[in-house]
Amino acid sequence: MGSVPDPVRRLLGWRDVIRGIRPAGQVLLYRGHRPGGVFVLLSGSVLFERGGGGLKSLREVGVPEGGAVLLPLPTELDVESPVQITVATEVDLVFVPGTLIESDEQIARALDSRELRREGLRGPRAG
Amino acid sequence: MNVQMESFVYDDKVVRKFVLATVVWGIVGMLAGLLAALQLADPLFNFEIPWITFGRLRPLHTNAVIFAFAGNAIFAGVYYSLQRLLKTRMWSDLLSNINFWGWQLIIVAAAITLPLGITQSREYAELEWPIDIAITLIWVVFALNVFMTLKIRRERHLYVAIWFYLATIITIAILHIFNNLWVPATWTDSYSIYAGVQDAFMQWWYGHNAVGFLLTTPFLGLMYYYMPKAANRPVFSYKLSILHFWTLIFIYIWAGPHHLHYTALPEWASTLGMLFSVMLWMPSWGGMLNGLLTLRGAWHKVAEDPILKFFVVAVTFYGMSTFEGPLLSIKKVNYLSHYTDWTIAHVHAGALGWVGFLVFGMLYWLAPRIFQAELWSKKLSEVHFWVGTIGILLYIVPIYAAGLTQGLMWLTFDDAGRLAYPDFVETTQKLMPMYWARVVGGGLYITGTLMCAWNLLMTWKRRPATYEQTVHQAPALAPNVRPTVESPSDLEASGAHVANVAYRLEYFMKARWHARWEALPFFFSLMVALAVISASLFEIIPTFLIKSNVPTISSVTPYTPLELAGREIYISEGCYNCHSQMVRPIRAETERYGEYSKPGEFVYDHPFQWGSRRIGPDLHRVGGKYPDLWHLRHMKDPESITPHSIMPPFPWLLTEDLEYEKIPKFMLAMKRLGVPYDQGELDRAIDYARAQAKGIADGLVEQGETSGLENKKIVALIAYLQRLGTDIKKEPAAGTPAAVSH
Repeated sequence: MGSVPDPVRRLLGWRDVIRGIRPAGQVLLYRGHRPGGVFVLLSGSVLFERGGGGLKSLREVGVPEGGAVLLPLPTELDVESPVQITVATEVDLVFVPGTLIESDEQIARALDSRELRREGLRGPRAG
Repeated sequence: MNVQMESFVYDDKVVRKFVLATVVWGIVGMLAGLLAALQLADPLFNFEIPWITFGRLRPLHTNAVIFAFAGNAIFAGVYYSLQRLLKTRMWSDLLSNINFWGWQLIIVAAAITLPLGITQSREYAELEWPIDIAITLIWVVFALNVFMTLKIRRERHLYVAIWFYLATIITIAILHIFNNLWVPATWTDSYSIYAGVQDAFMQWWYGHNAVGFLLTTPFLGLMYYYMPKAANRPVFSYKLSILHFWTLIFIYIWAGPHHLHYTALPEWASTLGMLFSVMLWMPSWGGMLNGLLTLRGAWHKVAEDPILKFFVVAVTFYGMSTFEGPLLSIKKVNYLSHYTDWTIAHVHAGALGWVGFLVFGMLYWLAPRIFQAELWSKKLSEVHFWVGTIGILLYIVPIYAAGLTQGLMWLTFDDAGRLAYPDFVETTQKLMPMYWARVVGGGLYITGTLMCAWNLLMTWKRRPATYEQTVHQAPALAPNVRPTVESPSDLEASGAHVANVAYRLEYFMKARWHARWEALPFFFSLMVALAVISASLFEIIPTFLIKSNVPTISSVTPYTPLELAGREIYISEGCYNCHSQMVRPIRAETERYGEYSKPGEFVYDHPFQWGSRRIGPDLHRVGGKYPDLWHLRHMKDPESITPHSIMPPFPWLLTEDLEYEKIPKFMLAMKRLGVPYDQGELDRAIDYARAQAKGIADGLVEQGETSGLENKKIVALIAYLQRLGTDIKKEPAAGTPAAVSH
């Protein structure tokens, strides 16, 4: 289990912000869907996949030791996802709804924490 | 010369009763410990039942094993040995019985009140003020009975065991009274007259010396009686007894502040505590060596006698614990060990090994004598010994490992200079295998205790239809006449021409002065009291009188009425059992928790809540760190916030009503202690509390929680938690009433 940066732990004091463990194989985001919120991964890893009949794995994103990964970028909330994001190894994550990010400055600030590594839908970007 | 012999019979009935109580309460206390160990391994074992949740169960466990198991064993051992050492029956059977029944009632009262969350929150002194008074009365009954028995004794000299009994009686009385000075707010709530730094100092003066004078000196006394009896050998050294007795009781009393290294306690006090703790090693080992060397020439008996095996292991654990204690008191070691499970392992090595095994050895030795029947199964007592020994090792070794793991993980930084394990729960998770091993070790130890209970029960069943009353005879006590002719000096006999000082030195070294003291029990007791009181005052007076010890901070104000009510809930639920409120001035702590704690921040903390363990993180700077809803969710279901958290859920705080009507009583008691609440605040306390509660509850409703929480305990607890450690971040609020400035 990964560590939880304090800004992320604080997020759990907002309605609709939920922390949970997701098992391997569960789809976090389907291709073509809008994310509607961001995931902060605290441990485990996810696969970015794309394809027609059979999915092709594009890349695997894991949580570095002592870190946390935010995906997708808050600017991509209304974008139709070009990829499917599937849990590769059990993840501990916090889901933050997009409506909350837009309406609450404290949430936006917490997600801006430099302790979070960012992963965009089209590729990794530095936080 | 014609010596008039007097006949008398010993009272073994009271001994039998105390033996029974020892075994019964021992099992209860240890089962509570086992359940607590299970709860730490998996919070499911809290069963969401308030009465047995960890914060309430842990004090029940500690009080049961200290005061019920060890306490009853002390009474059993003292009542048996004292009569024989003084060649007289106890002065009053009535007082003996009041002592017995009174003590059991106190234990029952503790067993009811602690699970109900009625507590004063100071470790090993949690019982509320009416029970404190009962303890005082029963202790006075015990003391009176002992002193009057001394008065009617037929043996002039007091054997070394009795010195230790006297030290226990006198010192426990002093500790209990001065640590339990409270202002009652209600029948079930009270506030220590001391606050913050001074309260912490008094608590650990008491806490450390309760270990010293309830778990050490009486058991040394028992060792000095029962071990030579079991081995049929005299005590190794009389002079060593004198030396280690006086040094032990004088030095022990200074050592308490070593429990508060790097805290807001003035450094001079904790340093003094450390120095005396290190010195304490020597007198402690004096006792251990005197015990073990008593077996010289009798070691072959240890192989075949389980009673001696229990005694040898007990004394060995005493030696180990009293070496480790001074080690832990050294600042640099304490830096690592404090708040960790290392302390728990240390305590259990002493409690299970020293106290427990000495009690079991004593019980097996006593059983045939008090039940007047052969022990039912020596073989079973042998099995008990081995099961118990393996149980102790399986308990302490993993918990030492757990303590070191915690300490190192909390302190470690990575190459980038950040905390390597910033998430507290990571460190907790690492301990789980060790916590499960502890459950196995503790389970084995209890299995051994059950074997002992069974063995004693079956021995009791073999008792004669009527106990034989053996009539003993001894001459009445002759007047204490100081011999006019001193025994000849070795120096004179050798013909040596030496200065007068050499004769005096010889007199001192032969301890003849002490032999004279031993014939004067009341003078002896006075000297004990002087040693203990004078040593205490050297630390207590400066701690209370030097103002610079606690620099005031102008922005620190009293708790609001609602926060005060929340504090009562925090105390009642036993949060202090897992969370400290003391950020030490250590980088690893300031990085993790925030600004280190200042003495002036605790001036309204009656009683202090610094805690002594970190099963969970420190809370002193938790105020304002998380939103109110976070706290509500966390208290309701900690795992929803922190997966794998071992904190028990407290869902009842969301459903139980807050007793607003009690708040003015809390404030009035605080006002009597000097907390600056004015009359207007007292008169409108409930209104202020309701207003603050409504603010919090409305905020929670906005976040989607159900309404009506303003009448529930959770809002008061949230108010208190949100206040913690925030005063120093604020500007002093000029002209604002103290209680409503937050």
